[in-house]
Amino acid sequence: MTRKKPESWPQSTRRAFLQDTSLALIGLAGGGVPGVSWAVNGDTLHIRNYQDLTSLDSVTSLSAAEGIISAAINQNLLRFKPDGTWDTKLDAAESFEQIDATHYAFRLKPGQVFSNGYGEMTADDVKFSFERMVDPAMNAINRPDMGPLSHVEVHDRYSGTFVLHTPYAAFIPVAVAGPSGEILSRRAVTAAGGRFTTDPPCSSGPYLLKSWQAQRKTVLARNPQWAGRKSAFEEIHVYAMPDPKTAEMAFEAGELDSAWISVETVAPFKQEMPDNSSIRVLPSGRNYWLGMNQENPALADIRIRRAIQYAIDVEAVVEAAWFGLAKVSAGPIPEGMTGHRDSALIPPRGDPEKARQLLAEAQVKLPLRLRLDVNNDALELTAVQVMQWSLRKVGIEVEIDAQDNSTFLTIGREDMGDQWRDVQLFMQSFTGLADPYYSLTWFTSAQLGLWNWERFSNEEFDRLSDLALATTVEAERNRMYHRMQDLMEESGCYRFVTNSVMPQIYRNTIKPAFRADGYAMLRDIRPADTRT
Amino acid sequence: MAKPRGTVYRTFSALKKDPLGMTGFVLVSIILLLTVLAPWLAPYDPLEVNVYNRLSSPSAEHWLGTDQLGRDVLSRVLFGGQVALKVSLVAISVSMAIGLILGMMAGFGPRWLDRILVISFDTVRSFPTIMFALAIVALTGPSLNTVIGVIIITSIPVYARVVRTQTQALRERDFILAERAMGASTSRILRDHVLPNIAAPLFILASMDVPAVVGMEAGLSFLGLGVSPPTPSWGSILNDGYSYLRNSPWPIIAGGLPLIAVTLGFTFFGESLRDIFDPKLRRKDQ
Repeated sequence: MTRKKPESWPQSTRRAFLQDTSLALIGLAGGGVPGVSWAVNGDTLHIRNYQDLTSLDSVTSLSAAEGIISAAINQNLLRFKPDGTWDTKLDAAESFEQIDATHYAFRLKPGQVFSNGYGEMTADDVKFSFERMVDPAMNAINRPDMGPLSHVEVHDRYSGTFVLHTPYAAFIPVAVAGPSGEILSRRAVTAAGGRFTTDPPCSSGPYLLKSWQAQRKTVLARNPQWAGRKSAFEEIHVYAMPDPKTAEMAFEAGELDSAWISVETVAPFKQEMPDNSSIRVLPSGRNYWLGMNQENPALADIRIRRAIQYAIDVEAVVEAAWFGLAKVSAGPIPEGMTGHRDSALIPPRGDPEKARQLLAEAQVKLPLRLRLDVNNDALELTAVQVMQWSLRKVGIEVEIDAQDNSTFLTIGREDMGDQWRDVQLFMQSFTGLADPYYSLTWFTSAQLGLWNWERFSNEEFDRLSDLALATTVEAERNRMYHRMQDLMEESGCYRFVTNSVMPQIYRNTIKPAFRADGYAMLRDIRPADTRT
Repeated sequence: MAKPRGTVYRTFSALKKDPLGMTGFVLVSIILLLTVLAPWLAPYDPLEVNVYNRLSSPSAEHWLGTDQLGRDVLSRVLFGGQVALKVSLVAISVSMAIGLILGMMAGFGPRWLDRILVISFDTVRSFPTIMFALAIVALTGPSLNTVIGVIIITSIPVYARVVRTQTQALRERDFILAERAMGASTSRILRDHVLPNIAAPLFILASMDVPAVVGMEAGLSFLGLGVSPPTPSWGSILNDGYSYLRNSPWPIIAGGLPLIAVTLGFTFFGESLRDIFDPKLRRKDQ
């Protein structure tokens, strides 16, 4: 969509010239063609991704940055609707139904083919794709997404049944419609050695992976064998741009059609909007909190952890780092989802007096010196500096240790050595999915040393986690998830901050499509004046 | 006792005749004064957060506005000068002292020692400074001490090479040979005869190194590899300013101006000193 410009031409004149000429030509050709965009059709969409890929294989993929791409080149049985909700609709499946608490039946649409000559998608490919995720030999990093999946029974070429060991309330939103539920070709993946990274052996989605240049861009091309509605763009260029400022400048320069921008840029952009553009501040599934490692000697006393909870003014943190665009959160489960709490046990503004009292009770010698690890990111650094100031007021001196993302992600992991023992405070975040299970499963005892860096271990929490997963009664699940978040807070290991927001800017020449957590859905982005 | 005063007087007299040198001297003096007096001059605690007054424009209360956390930018710039001064003072002193010793050893010692030391200097200098700094920071974590350490390691060869060249030029001079013939020890020759003759160029080099060192500290802090938050440094002020440039240009301006002043001040002053003490290298335009 965005084209290179001859540098010698004044930008505005050239734009106006192109626009006027194109409109005139369309007018001459047919008096205007409804449903066809002069600027977009058959052209290229340029979009920002917040980081580069490491793997497009559901067994090893790590981030939503990869999910954005893989969702455009693969199909799930069901997929999320592109309307900003977690509602699902049929994708590769012709039908999908729950038979009982542990059985789900599916039937594939006939005639869906994998690229590179790997033939038609069959129920056996579904079986292969799901069972490799739970195969211990595969050691899939996203294994928890599949919950208690046992196996897939194949009935004929197109139909089969999922069999679960126990009921799994998040089976559809997390396992079937989520990134781990993408259907791969058994023949193609086996020929590739059973795994792949950034070179998928074939695709079945509306786009194909045309090329990938590390740290630069991923190019998707229209899949000529795609049997569904014709893909909107000939190509989609997805640029790996970790720095939102770069993306903002690229957007202003006309090099991007859509970009996730930083929260602090929303107000200046709204005051002086780039040409022909709009901004949407979408809710994000990214949950931020301050974690405390309760096994570190400095934080072993719950009164110290509680003091830290009470000392921090979360309202000020959110105001400073999110520019008032986000809301203070009461737990990892975002608004609108089962289990969301309206308020936390500790008031958002904290209570410094109570914090001082708790520190006195714990007979802490002040100033108490602690280290706070954080990802080296402007937003998170701003947030932790407000926390640092709040804590300083009650006699806790915090040293901030900002680390690059790849280093930061290892500090609490037991398999990376003994450094997890030295972790004290840290600001952590992660993106949830469409079910509360996914928001809380990372805090169970089974996650100790993996993602549970707080070393929070509570029998009741673990039990409720299993029970909430096994029940489909919404009110029951709601009550259980409330209790679980209460337990987290009561442990003193967490000070919840926000569920964040995701500001997206886009040209008015496109009709954007976003998931409920704000991420772009590439296959659903269309030219602005096409019919839906 | 009269001799040093005479040197200072002559230096200052010569400086007065060089407008650029005088400008540099004035700038350096102002910067040093503001930095040393920061605790008394700063209107606010540079760490005091007031998020509800963030990114405000200059006003009577905040002469250079506030940053993204509502901290007074002027106070942060003044205290940031202390970080720059500390880094340059410590890093240059230590690297100059070590460079002096190693340079004299290379210049006056046996040939094999000279070769080993020169290869070592060249090896250290062959690493691009920023890449070297990134590697060290990755291993040890960002901190002011790491920054100082990196600057010391990368600056030692610069001083050592200058000292080596000067020492080699002196070692065959008649007065040194006469001292040797009279049985003077190597350490005495170096201390009493070589050192006084190489001190002036060394100090000139040091003064001209200040902006480079300040710039390096600011660069590393800008990249988030220098001082830890919330310590104010000109680099971290620039970094914060960059992130919020669309919201307010003042932190960028406030963090950039002292860097410009330091660069100009020490460069003009250093060049002027060089011209005074070494007329052979006098600027072409004079």
